[in-house]
Amino acid sequence: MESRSIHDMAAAPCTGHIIRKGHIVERKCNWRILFLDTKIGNPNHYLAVAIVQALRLHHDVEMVINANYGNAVSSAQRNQCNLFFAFDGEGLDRYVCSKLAEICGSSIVWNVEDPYEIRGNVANMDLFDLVFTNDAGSVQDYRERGRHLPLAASVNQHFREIPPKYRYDLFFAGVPWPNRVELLQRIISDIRDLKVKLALPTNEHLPLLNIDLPPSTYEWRTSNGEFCNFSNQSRINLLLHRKFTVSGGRPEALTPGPRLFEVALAGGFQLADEGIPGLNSIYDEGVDYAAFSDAQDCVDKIRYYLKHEDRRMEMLRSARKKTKQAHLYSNRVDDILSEVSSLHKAASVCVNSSRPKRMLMVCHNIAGRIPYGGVETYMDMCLPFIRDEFDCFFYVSASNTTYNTDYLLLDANYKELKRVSTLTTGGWPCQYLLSCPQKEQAFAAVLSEYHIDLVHFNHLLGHVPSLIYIAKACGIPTLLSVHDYYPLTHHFNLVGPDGVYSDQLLSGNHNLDIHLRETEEIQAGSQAIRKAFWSAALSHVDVIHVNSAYTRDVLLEYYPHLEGHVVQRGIPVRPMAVAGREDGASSEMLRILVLGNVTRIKGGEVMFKIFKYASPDKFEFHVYGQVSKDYMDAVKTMPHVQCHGAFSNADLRNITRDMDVSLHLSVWPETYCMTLSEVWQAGVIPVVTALGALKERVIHQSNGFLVEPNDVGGVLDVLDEIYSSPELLKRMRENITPSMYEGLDDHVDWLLTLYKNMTKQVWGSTSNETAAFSLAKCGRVIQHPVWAKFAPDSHYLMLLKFYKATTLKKRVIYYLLAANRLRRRAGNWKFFMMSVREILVRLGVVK
Amino acid sequence: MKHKRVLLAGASIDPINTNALLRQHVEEGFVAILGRENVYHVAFEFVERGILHYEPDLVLFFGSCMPDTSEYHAMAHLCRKKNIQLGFWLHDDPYEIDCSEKIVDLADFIFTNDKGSVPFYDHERVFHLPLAASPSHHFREISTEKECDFFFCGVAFPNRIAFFNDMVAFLSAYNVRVQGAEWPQTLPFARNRRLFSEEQVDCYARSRLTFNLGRCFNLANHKYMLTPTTPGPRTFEAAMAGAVQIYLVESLEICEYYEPDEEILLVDSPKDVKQIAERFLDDPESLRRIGAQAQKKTMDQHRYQHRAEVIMQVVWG
Repeated sequence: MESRSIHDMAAAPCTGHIIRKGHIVERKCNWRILFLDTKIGNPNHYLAVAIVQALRLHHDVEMVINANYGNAVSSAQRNQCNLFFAFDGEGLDRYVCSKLAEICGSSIVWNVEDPYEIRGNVANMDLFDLVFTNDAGSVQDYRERGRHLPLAASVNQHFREIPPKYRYDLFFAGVPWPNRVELLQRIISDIRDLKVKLALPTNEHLPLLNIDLPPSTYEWRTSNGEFCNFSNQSRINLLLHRKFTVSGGRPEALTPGPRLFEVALAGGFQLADEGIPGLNSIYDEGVDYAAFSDAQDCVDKIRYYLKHEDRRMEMLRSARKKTKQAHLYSNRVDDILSEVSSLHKAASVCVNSSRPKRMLMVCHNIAGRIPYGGVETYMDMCLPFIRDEFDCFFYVSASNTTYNTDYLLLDANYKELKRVSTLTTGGWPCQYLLSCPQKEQAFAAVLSEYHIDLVHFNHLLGHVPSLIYIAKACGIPTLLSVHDYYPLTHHFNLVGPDGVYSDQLLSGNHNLDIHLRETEEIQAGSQAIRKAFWSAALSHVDVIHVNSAYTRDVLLEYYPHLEGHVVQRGIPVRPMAVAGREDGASSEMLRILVLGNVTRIKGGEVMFKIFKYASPDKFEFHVYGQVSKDYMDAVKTMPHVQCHGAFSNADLRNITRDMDVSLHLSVWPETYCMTLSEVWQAGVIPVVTALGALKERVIHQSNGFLVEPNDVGGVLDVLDEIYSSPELLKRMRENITPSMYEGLDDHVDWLLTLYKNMTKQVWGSTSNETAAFSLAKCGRVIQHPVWAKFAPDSHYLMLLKFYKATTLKKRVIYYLLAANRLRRRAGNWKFFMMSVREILVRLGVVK
Repeated sequence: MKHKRVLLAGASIDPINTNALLRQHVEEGFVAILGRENVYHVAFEFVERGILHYEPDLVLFFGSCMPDTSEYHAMAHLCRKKNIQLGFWLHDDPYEIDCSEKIVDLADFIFTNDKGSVPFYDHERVFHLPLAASPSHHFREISTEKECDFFFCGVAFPNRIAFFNDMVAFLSAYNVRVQGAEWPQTLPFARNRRLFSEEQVDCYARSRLTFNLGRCFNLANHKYMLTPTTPGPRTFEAAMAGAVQIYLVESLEICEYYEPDEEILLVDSPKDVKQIAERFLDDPESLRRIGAQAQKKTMDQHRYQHRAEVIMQVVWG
């Protein structure tokens, strides 16, 4: 790995003035802060909220982004943050934090769970320039980086007016650590005459509570805001310390926690355990609070102070005054920013790296691995040009089964660098999944280990769409090419297993539901779940590349909010030197080219009938590609149809040289159609289905012919017309210009410019940390990772059970149930066979 | 502001929305201010059509944004294009607050039912807006004719079961009706039968005392593990029905809505419930007075019309 060099460095941001409340205040620094609470599931996040509020009000702070793990890195890059402020310390993700520290230049952490979490916190201190700790006793653990910084209070969150009357005599809320329970057990029987409010929410680490009160009176939780209300409404608030840890740290802090300050600001009088370390260095006993030495003293003091309201008032007012003067988060933020400024650390303002940027192509397959198609060919065509300027990698499914569990990381020569094995959530095939934590984590690990700077999703078949979130969480820009309709429906050519395309499929709420129900027994409402997830995921893609205006319109009709993300650019063809063709037809016979596989989806039914009914005396058909087994036997008997088998791009020139007309009769709305470009380039006149991009690209009787889908007679009419008027071809050839198809050089120029623009702001990270992301960690909550809801007795669920069954007996039962179910669904044997084949492939029975 | 047009929509699809009825109450609140002709009401699935058809000034999604089908990018895009304000009034905070990530970048305004949840939205325009009651649905004439001493209706969340477990011996001596779902057989007065909304309101009106016990059941509240602070809609609905509520205090925010001892009875322990029973069960006049005062406060301050006024004030100033 090459080391990163920062070309453009600047001193810590220090200029300017700001006007606040009518006064001009000198702004010493313009901090652009990326703030991150390191702990997911943090019940103390209210502290983070208070700190963010204080930062936003500070005169040296220009902006604060309160980020989460899903957006922290990309936000820091986009906003050119110059200070990374980590909060809490527990649960810290080293990959994200190391990246943020690099991007921002300066980094600090305020650990608030010391000393209980000291082990983990010390292990992570290398990521930060300064480590602020809530605990005076932990400072030395961080050596020269350590600074003591007690927690505090927030006027916004904690201030309360002193009430005219009180509701409770005594209040305590806190985790019932053993030392606290011991005291409460001893005093409870002596204060039964008092109005006491206790909240002792327990957890799995603590012993069972044994307090002589009905559990419903103390087993409850309160929010921090309500904690302040209870403190405010109680004559006396107990302050008890904690002596307990389960994380291997020291069990007792030498500085009191935040509630000391919060209760003081809420106007609560505090009766504290005199053994609380550090209390006296913050407030004065007898002036700001009262203290007790043991249980009996505690009871005595409670009774004393209940009788002496004036003393309570004196002390609580004093404590509140001191808190407002010195123990607000605004004070702490002042201290932090003053310390950070004194580092005089350079901040990076431009992020560049001397090593080539690294881009990852995500796809289901690669060129050369049969069966492959246009998407793989496209990547392969662009690859030689891209790898001149980018280090290229591929992340593809290891097999072509839908139960894909393995992925291959390949280099720019398709050489395997790594094989990644993942579990698939619930055994579901990827096409029905929205998210899969194992696949997400595997992908994140690849992105981080190979220092990927850009991800180009060429197809997500065999993957999960949540990978989009993972790339974003890693701060990596994303480009998604829409080569078919997979982002809209898993029937990615809008044709189901029944082979029927309807242009109404995507309209309204019901058509696709009905289609899925009839073709796969997927229940109504499932597609709405898929659409919702993809809709949100696609909004996180930086650039969406569509090949035609038709595809763009369909995509934006379905996902109108993507309007600003979409760019249109065709798919290129390799340049092919073709000799000028002056004449009309190439021979007495009209030579008709079929370039590509003859399958149902490519119009196989129509073509078969054309072959059958076209006059052998006039027409000669040349098929380059695989002919589906459905037609092969019959086609073999037709002397005017020559099947040449698969072809390579190198053969194109020879293949097209003597051809007059080509057929492109797809029954689905193609998104571009590379073969159309190829035949145009060779001067062959296409006859195309009036659907999708074909309809958009071909001008009828100008540069080709449009026929309605499945219109066998229409095609035959066109062929007859051409046969009878050979000059027609000559005239139409004159209309073919290079502007009608995408040239490879132009396309690659465009693509490389796009890649470079997208990676301009990307930090060429040198961190060796491995990313560990799941969708949930990115902050995206979904109720279920599978979008397809199958009927309980559907053949599909039976097949899934068959696949997961552990005994032969169960397998046989589920197999028979599935077969029986399908038997009752006439006409779907083909899909059944496909499903069974998938299972057999998965089981390794067939390849 | 009188001529503003509001499109009210479910935040999730109705077939999975158990609180779809509440949206009718919200609609009623807006209609009371803006008139029938300026308030439109559509199901989630038809919001885009509704926007195009009615061209409102405000689209307000009401409900829960948690279901996986609840996705708002397209609607938000349409609102931006047409310069329509987009607001959300979420009624399941903090139990589902983790899902608010879906709306924070899209909403112009967010109203949350839970006051304690407000600081946890990183959004400039987040406001607390508790649920309320509907006069047409929840109002009942106050009567001294009662059918039971204590009433509670709701799902048997662990905190509720713990409360009744602590009270079982005491309550067994009274005419007690606890209804809902998932109640254990160990509570002799509990029945697992759900009540229709109308039936439930009738029970509030026909019971001497009605327990108000909070919910302790999170669906997506793992990020900050928040505890609810604002009383749920049944507080206002029962008060509108003239119920005398015994409110188990886990939050003092209740005092912002009802005056303790005058409009609602606060308890902290089973001991407090016993004291209330001794003091009030044989004092129908005091019960009538408290119920009437709670009802009046609700009519004066806690109808959906009042909430609609707050929304309009926030959105249009």
